[in-house]
Amino acid sequence: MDPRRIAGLLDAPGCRRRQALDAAQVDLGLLAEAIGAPPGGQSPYARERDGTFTHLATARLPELVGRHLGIDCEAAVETSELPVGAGLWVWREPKLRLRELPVTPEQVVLAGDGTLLFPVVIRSYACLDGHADPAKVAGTARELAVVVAALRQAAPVPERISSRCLLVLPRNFGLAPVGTLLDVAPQVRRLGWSLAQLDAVDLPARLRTPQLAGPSLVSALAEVEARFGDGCPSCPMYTHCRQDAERTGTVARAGGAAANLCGPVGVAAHALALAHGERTPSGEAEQAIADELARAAAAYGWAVGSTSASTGSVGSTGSTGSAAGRSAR
Amino acid sequence: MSLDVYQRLLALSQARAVPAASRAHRHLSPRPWLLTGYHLAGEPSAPVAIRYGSFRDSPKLLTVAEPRDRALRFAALGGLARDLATYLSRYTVTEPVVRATGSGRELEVDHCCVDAPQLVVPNEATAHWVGLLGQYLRTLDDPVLAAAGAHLGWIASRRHLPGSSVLLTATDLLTAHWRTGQLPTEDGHLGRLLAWIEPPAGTDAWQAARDAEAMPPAGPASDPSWDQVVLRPALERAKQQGDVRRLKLAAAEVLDGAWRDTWAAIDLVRMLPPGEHVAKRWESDRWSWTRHRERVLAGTVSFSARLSDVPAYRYLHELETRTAALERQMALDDPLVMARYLATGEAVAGVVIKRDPEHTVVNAGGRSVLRPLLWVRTAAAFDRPAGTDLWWGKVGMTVRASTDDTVELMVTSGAVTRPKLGLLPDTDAEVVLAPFGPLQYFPDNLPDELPWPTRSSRPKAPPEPEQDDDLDTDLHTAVPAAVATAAPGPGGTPQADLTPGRVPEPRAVPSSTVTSDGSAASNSTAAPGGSRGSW
Repeated sequence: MDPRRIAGLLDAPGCRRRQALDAAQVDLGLLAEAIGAPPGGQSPYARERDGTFTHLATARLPELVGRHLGIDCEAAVETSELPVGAGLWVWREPKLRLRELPVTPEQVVLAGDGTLLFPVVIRSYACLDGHADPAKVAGTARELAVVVAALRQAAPVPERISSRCLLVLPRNFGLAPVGTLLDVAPQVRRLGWSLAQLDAVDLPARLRTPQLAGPSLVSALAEVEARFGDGCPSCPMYTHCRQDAERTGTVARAGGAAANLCGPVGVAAHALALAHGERTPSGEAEQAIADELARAAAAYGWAVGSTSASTGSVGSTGSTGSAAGRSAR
Repeated sequence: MSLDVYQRLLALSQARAVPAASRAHRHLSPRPWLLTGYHLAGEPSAPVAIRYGSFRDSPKLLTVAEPRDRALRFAALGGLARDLATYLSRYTVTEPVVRATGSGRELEVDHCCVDAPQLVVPNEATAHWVGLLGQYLRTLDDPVLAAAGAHLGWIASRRHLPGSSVLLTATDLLTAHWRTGQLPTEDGHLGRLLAWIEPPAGTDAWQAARDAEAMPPAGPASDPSWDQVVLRPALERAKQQGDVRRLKLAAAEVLDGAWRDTWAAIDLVRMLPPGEHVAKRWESDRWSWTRHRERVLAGTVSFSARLSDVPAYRYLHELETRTAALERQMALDDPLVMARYLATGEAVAGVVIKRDPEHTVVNAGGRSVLRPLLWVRTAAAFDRPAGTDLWWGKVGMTVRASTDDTVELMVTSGAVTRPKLGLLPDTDAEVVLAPFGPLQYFPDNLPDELPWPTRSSRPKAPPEPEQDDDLDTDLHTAVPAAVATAAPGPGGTPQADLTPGRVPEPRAVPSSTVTSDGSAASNSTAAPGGSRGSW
């Protein structure tokens, strides 16, 4: 699995289904086909630009490594194992492992100063006036964390792999490379936690069957509980889980804020019934949720009542509460 | 906000968006300039196709047969720059305005444009792209393109100011006025949003939203498979045979959806009556446009990548002032927005059950002053402490005590003299007491000695070599590259601000904020009581 996929674990914290998906190393192509997800992929133009920039940046790597890491080196040397000493290496298609999961990046570039090894990564999104898109940098940092953790597992002395990485980006609107140091230590720690969760996942026996595809794959995954939330659109199971949530009327379908407020009340209809006093709350927690939502329902009822009185255009509510006239000026 | 959650749940169970506002809180120009387009994947400076204009039925279409060829790109963008200049030239009429200056006692006559331009784009990503395009155009030598870059830079710089309507996104227009039952991140998809608000007859919002996802994206990033299957053959045909018809057809087809959706969003918000304060906020945009025009005419437009200390302080101060003013104005304009504060308990609605207009207290000077008392019966307990200030219009009051269903208030301003006692609410009147009084004024006086170092103490990185900035993805290098994007920011080189070992932070300031001397904020140069008074 490539580092991006494992890094995706950090997008959907606490989702057992996503963990099962990765723990079972399900083929994403088969999965997309099974759930009828729209085809993903990269634009040919993005690929070309990526290739051109990687080529240009690779030629300038010794200079950037010298400036940002203080390592004097010549052009990158090919290697097929974890290098030792000072210099710059390219390790193509390393077979790494992270716990039990295989990690197969296309290549790993490493700069060494004699004691530490620093991962170097080239990406083609622009760094404008010293700022890159924070979302993309965060994504890269998560992928780098996977590489750092996998390299540490492979290294005889894990501490020799630094969590400080050199990120090379094109500058402004051109293709001149600039380097930035990125410390991914927090992401490595978070990844460790996510992987520990992964170990604890009880895979349904059926998911262990090889060559699972089509409806049987989907139904096997559906045996594990999903946790729908704001990070879901980036997950390969998104369209499937979304339909699930829509069918059951889950509060989480409306986002994390709603799910957090409603807490143990998981179904939207129940939450609304609590708000409208049509359902007796069981326990203190539900009472608190009912109070909060009833207040919102009353306020909404007041506002809609007063607007329909003045504009007559806003209708359709299912709320109770007094429709007092609008007296605020 | 619990009301947001309640509205989302309501929308979710009805499978239809619910109103979150009953007034239009954005200014809508009678003649906005719309822009929707695609750029080459990963290259915001290389537009493939842009559809723009202020006429719904006759949009202009710009296509670039080889987006990576600078000559073709500049020719196409030149057309856009001229059309933009034509559109902006409609907003040059000024009117004299009397403004207070100095200590606020002297008056002077200033001239303000009677109207300002408005750019509407489908989504946040396109709005960001407009800023990037402006930034790119400003680096060019061509005066027409550079001028368009300056205008786009001003437009984009207004996007980050709360309450400004110069650059509107259709998704923001809709999310400000309706609440859906989907994930907040899904609200960024214009087609999905519209499906929630007006699902086609016979389908519910869920199905309509899924159908909307199958349509071409609103840009500025195109669908990768469209790039492969449609764009690549069309571009090759245009390049080799000089035949751009296929490209134009394909572009018109994919951009049509976003174009019509953006107009639909404007139509939906136009149906709401405008909020009372909207015109006042638009006035601040008109002043900013006036100042921008003056700077353009004087040739003193400047943009900086990063604000230095005092301008950064002023910018943050303006953001805070505007945020507070916008919240206050929207709540006072619109009961559906005020309901948010009722839901959180910051505001209180009820009926006046008793009044004591003759109540007096002895003030610090030993004099007896009139401080009428009011008792309001509320539906729910008011749980804020005694001493909380609330307002009813211009009448300010302080909470003295509250029980499960009544609040006792003492009037402290607005109706504390006998002639003004008639302004108090009558017994049995229904009132909403809000945490928003007359407009708040935040002085932005700086202390004599700045509490922060006026110069960056961070070590400067060695200067970045500038000479190879002209590397581009050009296939043809017929036109010599003349890019010099050396940002003359105070941080020196970009690296100076990226301290080793830290993730680059999200932008704290817009990519191109007008510098202090430019004072993008019409407010920052005005005297107290001047244009700031409008906030």
